[in-house]
Amino acid sequence: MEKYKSIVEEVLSITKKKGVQADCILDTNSVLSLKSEDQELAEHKVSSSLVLGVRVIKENKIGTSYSESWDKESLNDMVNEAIDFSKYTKVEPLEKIDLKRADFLDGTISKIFQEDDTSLQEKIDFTYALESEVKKIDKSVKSTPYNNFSQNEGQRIYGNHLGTFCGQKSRTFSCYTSALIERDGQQSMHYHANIGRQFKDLSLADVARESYFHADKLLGAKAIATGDYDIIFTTDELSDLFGCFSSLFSGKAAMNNLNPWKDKLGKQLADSSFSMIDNPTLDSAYYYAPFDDEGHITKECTLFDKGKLNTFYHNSVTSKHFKTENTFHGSRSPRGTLSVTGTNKIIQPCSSTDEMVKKDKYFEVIKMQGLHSGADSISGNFSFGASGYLKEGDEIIQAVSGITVSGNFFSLLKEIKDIGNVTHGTTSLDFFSPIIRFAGLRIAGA
Amino acid sequence: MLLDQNIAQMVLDHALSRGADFAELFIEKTNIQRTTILGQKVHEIQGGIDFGLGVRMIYGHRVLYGYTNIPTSEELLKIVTLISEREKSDRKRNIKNFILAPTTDIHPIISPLGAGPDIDVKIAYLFEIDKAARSVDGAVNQVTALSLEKKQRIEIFNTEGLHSTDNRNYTRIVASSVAEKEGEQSTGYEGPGALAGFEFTKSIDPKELGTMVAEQALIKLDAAPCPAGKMPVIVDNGFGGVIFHEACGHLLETTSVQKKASVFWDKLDQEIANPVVSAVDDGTITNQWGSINIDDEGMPTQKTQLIKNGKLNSFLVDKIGAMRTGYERTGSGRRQNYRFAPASRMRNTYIEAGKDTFQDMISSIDKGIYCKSMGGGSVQPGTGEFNFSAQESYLIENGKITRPLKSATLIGTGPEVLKQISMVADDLKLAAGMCGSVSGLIPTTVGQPALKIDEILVGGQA
Repeated sequence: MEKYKSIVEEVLSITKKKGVQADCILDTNSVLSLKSEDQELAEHKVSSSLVLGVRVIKENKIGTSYSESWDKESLNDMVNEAIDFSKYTKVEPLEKIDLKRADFLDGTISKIFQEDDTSLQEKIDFTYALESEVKKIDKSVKSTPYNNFSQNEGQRIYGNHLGTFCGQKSRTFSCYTSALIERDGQQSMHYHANIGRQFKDLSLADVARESYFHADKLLGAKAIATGDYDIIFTTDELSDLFGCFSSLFSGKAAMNNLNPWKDKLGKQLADSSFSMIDNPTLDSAYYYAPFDDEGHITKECTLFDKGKLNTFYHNSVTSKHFKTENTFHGSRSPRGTLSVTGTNKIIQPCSSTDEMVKKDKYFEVIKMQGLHSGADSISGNFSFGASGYLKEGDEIIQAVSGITVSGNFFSLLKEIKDIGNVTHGTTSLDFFSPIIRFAGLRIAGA
Repeated sequence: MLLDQNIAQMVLDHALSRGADFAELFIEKTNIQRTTILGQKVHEIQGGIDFGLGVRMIYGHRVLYGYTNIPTSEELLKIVTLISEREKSDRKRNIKNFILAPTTDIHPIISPLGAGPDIDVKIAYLFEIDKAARSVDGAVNQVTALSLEKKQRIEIFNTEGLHSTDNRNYTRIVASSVAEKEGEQSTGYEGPGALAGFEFTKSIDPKELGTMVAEQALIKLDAAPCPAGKMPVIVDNGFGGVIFHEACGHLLETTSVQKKASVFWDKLDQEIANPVVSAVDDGTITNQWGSINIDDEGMPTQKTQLIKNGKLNSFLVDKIGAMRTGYERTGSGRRQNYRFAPASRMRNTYIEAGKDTFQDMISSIDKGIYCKSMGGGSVQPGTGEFNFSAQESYLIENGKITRPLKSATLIGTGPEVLKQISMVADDLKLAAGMCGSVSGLIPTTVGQPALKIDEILVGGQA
């Protein structure tokens, strides 16, 4: 980490000579990516990259620039470009780089960066198995066209002109596979992924079984009649839906008049059973973010409390704008400007058992298509293609595909029928939620 | 030149000595500048330089890939050794000579990034969009206008002795608005772009663009919920072409065809669409957003007839796709940047003009939807299931357009919808978009004349 810290220090020494406030973020990343096709490596990718970005403040105006080269000339050019850009931007009196902390904050803990002595051959064998494990479940598996094993090692260093520095290293393993099933002239495909901090965290059996299970069940799935249905999303799909509307939680979007909830703080926007927090250092979560991208030490915040909007995600600028507390969710990539972002989101459990939430007929959404293009975070409207199961309890009445689900996110939050008492995590372990049953969403089908 | 030829020679010789059948170096330096107006102020100006090198080695049909930011021979040799760690070979083969293939520049540029107008001029242009949008109606309460300029320089060396270079300049203007009335909010969006310098903006009247996004948002404010169910739909020209892009285009890329993961993989020369449908993918259209001089494998681009009168005529073929399927390459190997190995991808893809008129199509429908403005979409190639969103739609009743509707998603499968296209108008128009797939996010053009789909599932709320 020292080597990269010194590059950040070099950038800051250039900005110091130019007499500007500045901070600098440096990211490194190295990736191993493998794909298998017919038990041969169809892809073997190895990479290493570095990008660093500077933010300068001169006469209350902000400029940013980034570079993927770090020789002296490139660093100078980058700083000069940022200063040049700052001449043209609006005066932003609230944006300051003023965090001063003497000690280097190292956010690397054993949970997110563990030694790995797995050989390349073991990883390649694992990749082959992503194919063979699915195929050996059933001969109707025509192929596993999409499969991948990845290992990713990243590093982030933050530094500012006041000598505040923090850094973090992380190591991630992930894999996915798919099952493309063909039977009686019909085709069906499903993917499943796994993520972990150690190679041994990846479960071959899990990705193979889940890919096959849903591809098999959804083969020959048919549309259900157009009408209003109670809906339960899997945790992964619910996370994706909330992800499309993430700007509703953004203090920056609110400040920029691009958040329809901008004047709704303290208002009852959801059913009173709905509470949601954000915890950057949640023990059971995959992500661990002890500092934000302004260098501040992070903390938990409550976004929704019993249906009332409690706060937005804030950084040092948006919190000053709204004259409220900073939630320390400042976010900036080396290539970007200061914004905000969420970390680990947790919807709080209620008292109903899963069995109670799932009683009577409902549609379980397993897969959504076109959610991002079909969701409008300003109007709240969404419409997406879906497949899943018409269920009663845990019993599948009918496998369903070729339908659309439409609604409005603002209404959805008010139409919560029931919330379970057990929290489930997404595949990526950054969103946790009990089972939630939403009332009466419109399905267009047969 | 972005990389010393001697280093390229050394690295590729090393790749051959590791037993590769083919190896390639892709070097890229890209300057980016983004200027954003928000809240009637200059919100952000961002810029930077991307620089990196990608090494691809092919063994049989297997692809090994690595990339780095460090342009030294030591680093590149290390990457070759690392990715071919498991390959055993004592073959000694050397490249004879690189022959610099002259790139014919068919997309002339006047004002590339760095040699175009000052930032002041760009800011003034964006302010005109903002002003025009706000002047349409007091209900327009936020406008974003941004210019995105990119200058990408690429250099390619491969073990067949090819040495190619190209410069690509992109300019895109994005305008969006938010309108609010009685607690309801809605948005408007347009994003024209070209493979050109800032001179492209001379063809885009900022007042018209601002007015357009404001009116789009205002119309949606008063829109009724869209009906749900199967019905006839007219998809307007221009960005309406996203339907062909998703329903068919992706399924014709050898990226999925070579794995038999496309429903069309064995349908060459067969009728896959209604005979009124003919479609092409053309990288040669002057200064068009999805155009290129050479693809990212160094092959000159071309015009590819995908479907002629309903029959499948060609796939989109890159080098590895050609090796695996036996089809001729079509100059379609594309990638977002040096971080990705190239794959067969679309360029400017559109349905050719037909003989019907827009009015004839509207008149032919008793009850259906007219989709004027489209959002994005996606497809699952294995099954051909696709979706796309209609951002601005209208109800058609008894042969007439009657009232605006809220946005909705339309879904179907490629093979079904291509046969359901029964009328194609004579008003071909192209529009810029971004396409994400296995080799990253690339600029592509979609396009079509207005067309009628006899039946498709509309995911409305009513």
